[in-house]
Amino acid sequence: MVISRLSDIKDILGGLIVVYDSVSPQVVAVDAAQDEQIKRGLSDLREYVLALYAQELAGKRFTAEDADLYGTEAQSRAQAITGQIAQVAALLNITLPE
Amino acid sequence: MMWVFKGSDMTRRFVLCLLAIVIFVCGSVAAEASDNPAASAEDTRQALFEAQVALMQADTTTAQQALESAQTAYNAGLKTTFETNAAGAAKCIETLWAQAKEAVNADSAPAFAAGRSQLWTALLDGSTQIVLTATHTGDNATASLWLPLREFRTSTRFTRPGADATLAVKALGSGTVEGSEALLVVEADLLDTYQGQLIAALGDVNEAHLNNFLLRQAEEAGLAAGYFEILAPAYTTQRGKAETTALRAQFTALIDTAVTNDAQAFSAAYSAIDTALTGFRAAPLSQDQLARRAGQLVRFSSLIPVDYARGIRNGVVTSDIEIQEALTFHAGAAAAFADLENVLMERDPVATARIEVLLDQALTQIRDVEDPNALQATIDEVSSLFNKVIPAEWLTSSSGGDIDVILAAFFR
Repeated sequence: MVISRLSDIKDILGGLIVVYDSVSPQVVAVDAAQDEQIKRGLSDLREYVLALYAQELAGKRFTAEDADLYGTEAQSRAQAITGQIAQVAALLNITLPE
Repeated sequence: MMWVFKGSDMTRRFVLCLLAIVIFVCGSVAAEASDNPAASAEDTRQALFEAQVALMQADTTTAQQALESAQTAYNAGLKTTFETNAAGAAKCIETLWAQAKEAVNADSAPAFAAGRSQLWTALLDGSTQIVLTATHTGDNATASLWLPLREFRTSTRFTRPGADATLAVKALGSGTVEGSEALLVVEADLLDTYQGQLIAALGDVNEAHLNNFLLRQAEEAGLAAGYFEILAPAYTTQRGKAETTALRAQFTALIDTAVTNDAQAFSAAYSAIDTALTGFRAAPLSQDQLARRAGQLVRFSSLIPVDYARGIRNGVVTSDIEIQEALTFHAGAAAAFADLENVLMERDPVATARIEVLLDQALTQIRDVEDPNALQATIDEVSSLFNKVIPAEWLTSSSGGDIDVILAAFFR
C-alpha cells in the first residue's frame, strides 16, 4: 500500500520543495540553521522516495515487512520536518490551532 | 476544523501541505563543538538506516561501510561535545558502536535494528542533557544550537507538535526570562515529547509482535528502551533507584526477546514494563494541557468507529485506508489516555482501569475485524466513563472550547 503511492508522494514532495523555497527567506530571518535543516530534510526525503520508486519501476517486489520498514523511515523523516516547521511557525507567530 | 493563521498565504499553504504528507504516509559547550549538531545526528541516523537496509539484503560489506560512515559522522560532529557535556550518553554510545559492529559481523539484522534505535535515542539523550544544562545556566547560544537535535510528538490531522521549548530558549536569549524559568518549560516540553514517543514505541512494538515483523519489533524495542533512558532520571526521582534498575532490566529483556523472537518472554517483559510505567508522568501536565489531552482523547475515540465502519462490509475489509485511519485514531486516543491516566486514577481508579481495558478491547476488535456495532458499543462505553471521570473544568478550559460540542456529538 505504501509502495503503490510512491509516485504521488514524490510529486507532492516536489511541490513542497518549490513552495518552501518561497517561504525560506522568512524562515532564515528567524532561524537560519532550522531553515537549512528543513531544506535538507525535504530534499533527503524526496531522494529517499525517488530511490524506492526507481526500485519499484525496476520490478522489485517489496514484502509486507519491507514496506513497513521503508514506510516507517519515511514517516519518521516527515514527522521530523513537521516538527521543525512547527517550530519556525511559532517563531514567525503563525498559530496552528487544533 | 477551524484554522487561524497570522502568517503569509504561502507559509500557510506550505504548512498545510506538509501536515497532509505526514498524515499520509553542565555548562558551556566546548568551542570546537559541531556548528550543526542536528545535521551531524541526521547524517549518523541515515547511515545507520543504510546499514540496516544492506543487512536486510544480506550485503554485509555495504552494511559495514555504512556503519563506518555513521560512526565517522558521529565522531566528527558530536563525540567531543558529548564526552565533555553528556558523558553518560557518550559512554553508552561507544558500547553501542561495538555492539552494532558485532551485529553486522554476525549478519543479524534484528540485533542491528535494536542497536540502531538505541544509538539514535542515545543521541537524543545526549542532546537533551546538553540543552537542559545550558538552559539552566542561561547559556542561550548552546541551548539554541542543540535544541534542534530532538524529536517531536507524532503529528496527526488534529494535533501539531508544540514549540514551548523553542519559544522559551528564544525568550532566554532576549532576556525576558531567567534560566531557571526557561528550564521548567524546556524540560516539560522535552520530557513530555519523549514520554509520548515511549508510549508510541511500546504500542508499535506490540503491533509488530502481533504482525510477526521481527525487524520492526527489534527496532521499536530499542527505541522504547532508549526513550526510557531519557526519562530515567525523572523515574528515579519519583519511584527510586531500585525501581529504575528493575525497569531497565525489563527493557533489556524486551530487546533481547524481541531480537530472538521469544514470544513468551517478550510478553512477560512487555507486561512488566506496562505495569511499571502505569501512573508515571515524567513532567506533570498543566491544567490547560490536561484539558487539551482530554479533548484529544474525545476526538480520537469518536473517530475510531466512524472510519472503521467505512472500511468494513459484511465482515470483510473493503478499504485498508479507512482501517489504517481507525488504527491511527486509536493510537492517538491511547496516547492521550496515557497522558491523563495518573490524574484520572486519583479521581476514579475503577473507571480509569475500565477505560484502559476498553481501549485495548477496541484495538482487538479492529484487528479481529469485528462487527462495527460492537466497536461502537465499546467506544460508547469509553465516552460514557470518560465523561463521568474527568473534572468539569476540563470541559470549559479545553482549547477552542469545543469539547462540549464534541461530547454532544459523541452521544448523538
